[in-house]
Amino acid sequence: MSEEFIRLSHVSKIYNAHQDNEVRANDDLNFNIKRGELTVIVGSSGAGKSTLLNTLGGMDSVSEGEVWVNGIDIAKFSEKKRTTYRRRDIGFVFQFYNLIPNLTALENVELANEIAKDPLDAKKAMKSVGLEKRMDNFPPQMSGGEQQRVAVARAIAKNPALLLADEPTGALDYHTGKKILKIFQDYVHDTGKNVVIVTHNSLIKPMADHVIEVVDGKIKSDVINDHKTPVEDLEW
Amino acid sequence: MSKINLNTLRELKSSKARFFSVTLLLALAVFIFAGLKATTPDMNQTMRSEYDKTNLADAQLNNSLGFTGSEIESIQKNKNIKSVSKSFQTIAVTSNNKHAINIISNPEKLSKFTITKGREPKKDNEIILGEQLRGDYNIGQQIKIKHNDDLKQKQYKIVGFATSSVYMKKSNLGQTNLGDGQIDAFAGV
Repeated sequence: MSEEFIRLSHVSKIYNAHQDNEVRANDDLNFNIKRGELTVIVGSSGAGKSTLLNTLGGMDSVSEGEVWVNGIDIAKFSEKKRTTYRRRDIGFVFQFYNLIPNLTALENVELANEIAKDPLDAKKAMKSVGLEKRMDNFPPQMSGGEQQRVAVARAIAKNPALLLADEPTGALDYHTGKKILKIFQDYVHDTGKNVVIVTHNSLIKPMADHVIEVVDGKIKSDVINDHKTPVEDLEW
Repeated sequence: MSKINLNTLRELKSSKARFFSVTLLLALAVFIFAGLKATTPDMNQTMRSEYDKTNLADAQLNNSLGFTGSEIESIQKNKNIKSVSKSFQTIAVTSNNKHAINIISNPEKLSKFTITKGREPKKDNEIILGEQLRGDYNIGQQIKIKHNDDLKQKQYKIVGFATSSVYMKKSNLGQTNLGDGQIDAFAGV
């Protein structure tokens, strides 16, 4: 019985509270994620999935509620503490890559060496995403899929306790998308660390251990998947 | 090299001209502010050294009726006074009504003149003019003075030009009811 790694309790993110144009991006969320789970958060655009991911990753503060990650309530963190949390414990893969254009792919991944406590070798991380041959290219010289793979390598190289991915396959084709998802699947399998993927593609639900569906800022369903399908066998 | 420095370096390398122009602009601004800041102490120092060089008097006592010998003695005896210098002074107007001149008998010890051209006046009819009149007269010229009760001569030969730390301004060295109201220069006899 693996222990609880993430617990959200009555978490809400409210913009313009108590006014006419109040927006509840996340409305009273409650769920648990166990250690070593591959979690997928699905929902259509505007459902509040990215807001939720940003909360988990320490990028945003919450308006109400408690966010317990690895035994610590990060909702109570100050700006400074949140920055340290982001830097040390989180690996983030953005939807639009966010690579540094003036640094080569390898140097982008080496960034992890400078901010993480126990990073992996940058070259090894590049190899694990299949980009040994493109280490000295600059991001503008690479295709979307390659850039996203560099972003994944950068996140993995940090060796984080929690790996978060915001629509990692959003801009990619079917085959490249599958490659990226396989990297996440292998990461959970090899290291036993948690990965949370946010996506609007509900056809990849079978690959996850845990599927959380978000509609209109609220949780619609929270399902544990007993019979996972490996990514290679998925068709969409 | 850390990634942040590497990134900065590459950004600069790719836009050298822009970096150079901004640096030049900043340098110009710094230059102006530094110059403005440095001017005040610079001026103070120049003034200080000029006053020390010419032994500028700390105070000047003027009396149109003059001082008696005993008055001068009591001033000299005062223990706060280190040195006393006596001099005569009168305001004269040139015969062509152009200039009103403050003529002083040569102060030997205090508030000395600094000769810039020519020499000191030695004879009774010689005069040295202030730099304020440099453009109007030449050495060797005669300068004619309108009748003045205090002066023996009606005209003087110009033997040189000088500056005085008392009369440093280029124009309007004081008021008078002769001439056009303003004193234009000083002179020494």
